[in-house]
Amino acid sequence: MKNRFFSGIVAAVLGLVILLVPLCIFPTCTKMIETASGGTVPMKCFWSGRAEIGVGLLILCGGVLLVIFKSTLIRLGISMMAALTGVLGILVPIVLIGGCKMDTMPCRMTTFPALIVLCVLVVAFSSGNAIYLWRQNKKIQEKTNG
Amino acid sequence: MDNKPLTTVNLSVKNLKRNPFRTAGLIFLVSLFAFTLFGGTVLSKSLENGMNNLSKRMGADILAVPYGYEADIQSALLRGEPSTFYFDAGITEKVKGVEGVKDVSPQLYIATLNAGCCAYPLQLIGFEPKTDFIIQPWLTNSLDHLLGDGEIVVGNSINAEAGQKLKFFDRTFLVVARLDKTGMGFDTSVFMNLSTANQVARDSERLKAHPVAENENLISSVMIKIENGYDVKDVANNILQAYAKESVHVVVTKNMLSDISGNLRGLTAYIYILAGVLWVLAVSVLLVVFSVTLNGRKREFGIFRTLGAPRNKLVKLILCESSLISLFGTVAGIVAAALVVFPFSTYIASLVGLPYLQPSYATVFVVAAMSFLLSFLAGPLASAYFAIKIGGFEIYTVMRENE
Repeated sequence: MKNRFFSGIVAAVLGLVILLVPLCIFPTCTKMIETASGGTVPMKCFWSGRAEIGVGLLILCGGVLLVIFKSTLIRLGISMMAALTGVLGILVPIVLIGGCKMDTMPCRMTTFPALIVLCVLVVAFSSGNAIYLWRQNKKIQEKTNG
Repeated sequence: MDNKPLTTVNLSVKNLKRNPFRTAGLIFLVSLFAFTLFGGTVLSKSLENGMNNLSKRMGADILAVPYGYEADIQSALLRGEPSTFYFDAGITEKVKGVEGVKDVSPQLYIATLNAGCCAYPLQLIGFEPKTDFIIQPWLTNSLDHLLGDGEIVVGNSINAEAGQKLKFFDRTFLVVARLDKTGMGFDTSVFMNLSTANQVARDSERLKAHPVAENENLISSVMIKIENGYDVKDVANNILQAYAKESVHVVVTKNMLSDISGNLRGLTAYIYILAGVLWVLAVSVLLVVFSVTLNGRKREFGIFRTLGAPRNKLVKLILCESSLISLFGTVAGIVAAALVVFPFSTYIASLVGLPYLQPSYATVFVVAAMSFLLSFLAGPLASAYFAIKIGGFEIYTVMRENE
């Protein structure tokens, strides 16, 4: 019971902070790039921020589900998915989409480091919770088998 | 049923789990100290490193700038803040004629409005490759030719490699080299020869009037190296006396560096004082908490003794509990500091506004090891006295004490 609430709330808070980082805590670069036709498009980091909002939302939902579901196996599955979502959150700014080319741009200076640190915490916490639940499940099975 | 053997470690873990809030509080206290010590030391070492690098690589003894722009040249050099200030290019030759001056090299600063790599202003620095003794010694890959028209060298924080092309004011430039990490403003600057810089100024005219586009005979500063045997102050005074009327002012780099190192010393002292205060606080709080809780647990220890536990088992138990608290706190504090100091290093550098260069892995490892040791010692040191005192109690006295 205690683990259910604790793990769910921690995951949900981490997800919420990931969601809020590109929105208001450390926003991505706001300036636009001028295209040859005279129009303007957002920079790459803007789209990385958008993707991270989705990642944060998924982790937040995972946290809520961890509180709702009582079954150890379901919570184990949710924790594993949250850990993998955390990995996705790390890959978005580094490999999958990326950001600006200069280290001193707001996205490279604050947004991405904050997101990477938070996603590392999600991966570490969710993996730890998954291992804990897996051991719990093993104990329950041993008890039922006699 | 838990079938774990009653080893000292297992018993200590169980005792710590019995009071989760007290244990968490003590771990937090130790982690706060470890965080401050490790994070603060890495921060001060990075600033020290940046300062050493700056003084080692600052090739000029004197900088000649237009009157009133002494602070701007420091911002441009230290933080790469885009600056635009100009005086007549003829000053270069005039300064060269002053007694005691060995080499001179002009530089021209142009701030971009936006660039292909980034939509933020960037400092473009034009220099004379033939006379330059400031920029070229910092190149990561040596150039086999003097920097030509249309070619640029980028600072280390600009993510472009040799062979790539960058666009400024709709003109494409070829990146031919990249500078080493300097920890100062040069990391975010782009370098080109003077004629290319003039071209960029003309290109920028379509967006905003630029003084260099109107008059090509302008430069921003002159880097000056003095002859051996001359006093830098005397040469600077000579330049001032001769050309102050032409709005020339001088910045002596040694004075600039000593100002920065003065600030740095103050900051480092604050960090170490804070770490020292936190260490004393951590040891004192642990001392009080252990004294209170261990006094309250005398009966428990009496039962252990009655059940056959030798005196040294009790001493080990108490020391093990405090060591575990210290261990968890120290690891948590160092990991938390690492998660702040390393990923956010550029942000910290921009907040501090001083040359910032992270130390080598070996130095970081040594700092981590020292922080670990100092932080870890807090727990066992605080509990050692009580551990020995409890170990020396007579069973009968201890058991009857609370009756």
